[in-house]
Amino acid sequence: MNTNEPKSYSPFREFLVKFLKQKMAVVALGVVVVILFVGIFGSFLAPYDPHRPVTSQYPEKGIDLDQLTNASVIVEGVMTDGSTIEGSEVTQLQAESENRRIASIRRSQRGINVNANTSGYTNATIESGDVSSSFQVVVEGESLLEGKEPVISRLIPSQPEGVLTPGDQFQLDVLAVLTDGEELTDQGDIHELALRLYETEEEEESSGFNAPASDAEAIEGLHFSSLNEEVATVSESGEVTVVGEGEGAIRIQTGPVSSVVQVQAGAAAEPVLAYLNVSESNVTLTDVYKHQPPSSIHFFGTDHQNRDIFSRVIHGTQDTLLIGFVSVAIGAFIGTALGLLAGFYGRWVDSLVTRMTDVLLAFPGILLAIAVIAFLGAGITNIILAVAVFTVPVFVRIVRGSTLALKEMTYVEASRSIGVRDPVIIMRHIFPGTLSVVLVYLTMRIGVAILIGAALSFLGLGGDITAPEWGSMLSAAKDNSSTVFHATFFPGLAIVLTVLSFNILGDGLRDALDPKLKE
Amino acid sequence: MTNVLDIKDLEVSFKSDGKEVKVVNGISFSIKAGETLGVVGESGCGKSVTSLSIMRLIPSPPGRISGGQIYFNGENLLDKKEREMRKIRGNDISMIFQEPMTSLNPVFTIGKQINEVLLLHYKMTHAEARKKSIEMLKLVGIPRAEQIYDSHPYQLSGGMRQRVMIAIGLACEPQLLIADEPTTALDVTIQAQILDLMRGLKEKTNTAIMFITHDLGVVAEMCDRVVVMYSGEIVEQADVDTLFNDPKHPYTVGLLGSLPKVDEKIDRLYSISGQVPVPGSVEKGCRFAGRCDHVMPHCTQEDPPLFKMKDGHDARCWLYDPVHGRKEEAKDGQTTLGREGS
Amino acid sequence: MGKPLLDVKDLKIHFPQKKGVIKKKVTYVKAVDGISFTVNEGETLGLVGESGCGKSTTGRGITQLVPTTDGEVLYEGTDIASLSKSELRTQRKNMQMVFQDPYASLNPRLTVEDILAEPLKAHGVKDKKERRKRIEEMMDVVGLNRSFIRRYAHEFSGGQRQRIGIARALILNPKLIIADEPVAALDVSIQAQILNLLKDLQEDFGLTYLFISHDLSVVRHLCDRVAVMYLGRMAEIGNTDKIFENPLHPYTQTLLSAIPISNPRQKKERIILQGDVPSPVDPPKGCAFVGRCPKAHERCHDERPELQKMDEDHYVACHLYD
Repeated sequence: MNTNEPKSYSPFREFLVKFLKQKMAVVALGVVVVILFVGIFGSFLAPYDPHRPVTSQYPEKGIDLDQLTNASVIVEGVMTDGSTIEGSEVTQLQAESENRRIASIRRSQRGINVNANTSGYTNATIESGDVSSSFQVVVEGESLLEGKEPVISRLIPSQPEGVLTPGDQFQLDVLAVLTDGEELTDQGDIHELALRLYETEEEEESSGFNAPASDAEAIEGLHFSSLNEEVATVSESGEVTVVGEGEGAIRIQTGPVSSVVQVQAGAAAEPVLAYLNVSESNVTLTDVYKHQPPSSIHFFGTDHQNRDIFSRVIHGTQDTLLIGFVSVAIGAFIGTALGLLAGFYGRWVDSLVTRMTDVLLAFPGILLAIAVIAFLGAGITNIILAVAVFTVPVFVRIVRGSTLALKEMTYVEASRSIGVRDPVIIMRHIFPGTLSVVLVYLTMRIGVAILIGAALSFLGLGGDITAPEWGSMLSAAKDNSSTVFHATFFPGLAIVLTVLSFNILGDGLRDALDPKLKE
Repeated sequence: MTNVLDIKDLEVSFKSDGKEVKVVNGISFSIKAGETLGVVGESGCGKSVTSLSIMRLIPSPPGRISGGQIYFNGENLLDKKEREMRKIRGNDISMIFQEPMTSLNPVFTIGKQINEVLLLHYKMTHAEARKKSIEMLKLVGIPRAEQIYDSHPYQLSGGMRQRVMIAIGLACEPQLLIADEPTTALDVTIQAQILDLMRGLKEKTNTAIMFITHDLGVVAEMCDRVVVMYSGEIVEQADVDTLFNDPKHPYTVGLLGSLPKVDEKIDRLYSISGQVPVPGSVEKGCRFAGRCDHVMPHCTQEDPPLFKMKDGHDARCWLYDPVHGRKEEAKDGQTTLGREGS
Repeated sequence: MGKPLLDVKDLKIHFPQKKGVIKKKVTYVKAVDGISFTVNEGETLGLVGESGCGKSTTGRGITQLVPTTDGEVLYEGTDIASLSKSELRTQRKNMQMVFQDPYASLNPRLTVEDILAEPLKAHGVKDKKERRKRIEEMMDVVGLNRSFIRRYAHEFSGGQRQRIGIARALILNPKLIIADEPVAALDVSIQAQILNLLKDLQEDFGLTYLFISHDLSVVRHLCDRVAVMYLGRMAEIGNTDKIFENPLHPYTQTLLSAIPISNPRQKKERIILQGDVPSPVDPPKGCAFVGRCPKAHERCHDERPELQKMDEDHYVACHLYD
């Protein structure tokens, strides 16, 4: 034998040598590894909670917070007997902002949340039945606004003491608390202020909540009305006359603000809500933290809800990779199995599988995915299934193709002539032969799957549109994309980078695994 | 007679894994007008690379003609520009390949493919080209030439395709025809047809033929002179009669001995042990030393030069060196070789 | 010669070819169209013919790698064509193939050990040590260095690969080896090594060979008996010496005359055939060779010649000898 023997051969080493020759693919592999790392440890890496606005996280991070984009106002209900109830116990609590473009208001657990939208003023009203209070919201943008005249925040009436009998008469005392904290006790002053405040507005707006007042008298300042004329009547100046037995109440109203005085004649009754107390009557907010540009605090800036885009992109990696990997893994597994069977056995198995594949391949991938989502409903699990469904035929086709070629190889025939069973032949001779092409496609399809997954999320088929997922991030940011660059750029960049890396890696694998490509 | 082709010290290197390996290592031979030279050797001996370098068709990279000269009618082809080479290819030198199935373009008709060569090299109208093409098809013994002219390659059998290839090769009346294993892919009866055809054509056209093959039987029938190659070197060259009846190099002797004969029954074939060395693996000494039955200590020390046996018969073996060879081999060397050879 | 080991009776292998979109026309490629021959124990029968004559298909039909259409393949009296799948698997132990292309017939992803272990695993040799022992013994037998056991198939040269292929065929101790052009892809010097190896193995293990080849010199060298096929039919069959020295069928005569002789001094008369082998889809009605036969007469067109005995162990299918 020839003594000049080459070094012992290892197929892996050959693959490695060929792969390392391709600089681009090596770089892509590096990027993919980083992406995988980020995907797995994303929740530890993200500096901010991706679900909450960063402003609410500044205190935890020790970042000085002098201005807010949102505030929570605690609401307290004050009962006629003087006791208080928490905001969550107040029935039918409704909150409304006069100008939603400036600030939006939502109910929260203990009261309400005010979110700044654009700089400007607005008044906000909270209402529960006949009772309402209002407060002022000032949103300061890049230009600071001059202070606006305070408005009446709430009316605190004095409740009658003891049990009343028909025929009793008494004068209602009202304390008006202004939004700047000033208190007016004189009824005439309140009346005048109310006249000045609400005169013009009522003509301009016809908001529903002060409709009763405007119906009665359009320019009236402070208005008293009885809610049960059979028990008590009230005069314009606040003189109450008890006329019958039972439960009665007087409503004191000025503009959007109203309180209730309980007039109880005869038997004692349950106290009712007298007025609503808000913890802050003048909320000053800012909108500058929304759409923050990239900075050292927020590498990728913040989005329209003031959430850290960097954290969201990092968090989103996990979902994105999950869609990419799991869907392609499912698709590749089913596709490879079907492809092997179809290719190896031929006949009716082949006809059946090929027909199904053809049908699935006839639809564009995204359309098929949308159809599956439409059938199964939105959500990340269904996105994975949808992407898997259109990945299956791709793998069926390529695996069937190489199986057909490998089946004709003499070594497969040799195995059969030896008496090897079919499953063993498939697993030992055919499957390893298809493995390289499967691996290459696997890598490339992950890119495609991520893209389709992102597209589905973008279209709002991913379920939770507020979730930190690249597609839905793009979708949410697209409305502002003409003015705000970073909110769309970074999620988009993440998608491009990931898809590109997987594709280049796939290309590199293909070249490295191609036995024909020697050099 | 003048030499049509004169190759001097041709060296061809291929790059693999960063190392440059010489696959053709300083070969020299010549072909006279009207002569058929057989180039024989096993796979990997460099015979096909040699023919491609004459045509300057070595794939580069990784290949490179790294030394020597190729004189065609006295002009060095290696100095020619690519444009000049294109004129020579197909016109003065043409080539027939082994695979008749893949050397023809399946998309074009036979006629078109012959016309192509003619129109490229001659000022001809299409009508003239057609006439000449059909003439060529008739020359190579294709029946119903007019009909075949309009057929596509898939409609023809392997033998017919090879005839068409020969027709294309001879269309421009080249001075040199390089036939690289033209009958290897064919059946014996078809091979006989093609060889018969080539012999006839040679007599008619006086074309010099370089006939590359691994089949010694074909060489014996076709060639005037033979060059035996081994591992990128010429180990022996002689006229065909001398080579088959008085081979000198142990490799040639072994090759002839390992051929099963159809006309006699031998119990056991002579076989050369071992494998052809990988190019570049033998660093010094004779490349055949590892497989040679007559190896001497000196063989592994120094690469033997070509020794002149008699007129036109050279062998690259130390056995024939007056200093190293005779002393050791005088006793049995010659006789042993002779017996195995017959 | 021993008793018959393999008896092929009127074997037909037709491949259906569907034509037309609605599959209305089914034609048959008559790759093997009724051939009969016997291989005796310990002998080598050469099956020769040009490409497309059905010699390889015959080999594959005998091992049931392609389904046979009609006829019997009797191995020691049992008809292989009628066996069930599992019976066939057991039967395959006795009958192994060596393939033409040593590059394609070995899975490049497997090591020598994997390749040689495959038949042992398939036939129930479960003990790894025993397998290893048998593999190493077999490597010695075919002349492969034991240290190569962990090497991959594609690291070997053609000759060594063919040795691996032969080792794979021999490792189950079969009686019959069907060798389909085992040396056609090899260089001359390597071919001689393999031919010598096959001869040695036959002597040492008492093997019976069905040797399929297009190379008549090789067949002459190796075979005791020769069967000449043309277009799926048997043209001539008999003792090698008788056929080579006295070929009777015009096709055999042409074939023999077409072999290039490696001696330039020996010039011989050559019969040059006209035309090509006709398509096996629509073979001539009479003798398959009729279109190219220089001695064809009217009867050859109409009537298919049957094999007739001309001499002890020499049969020919030709109307010239009626």
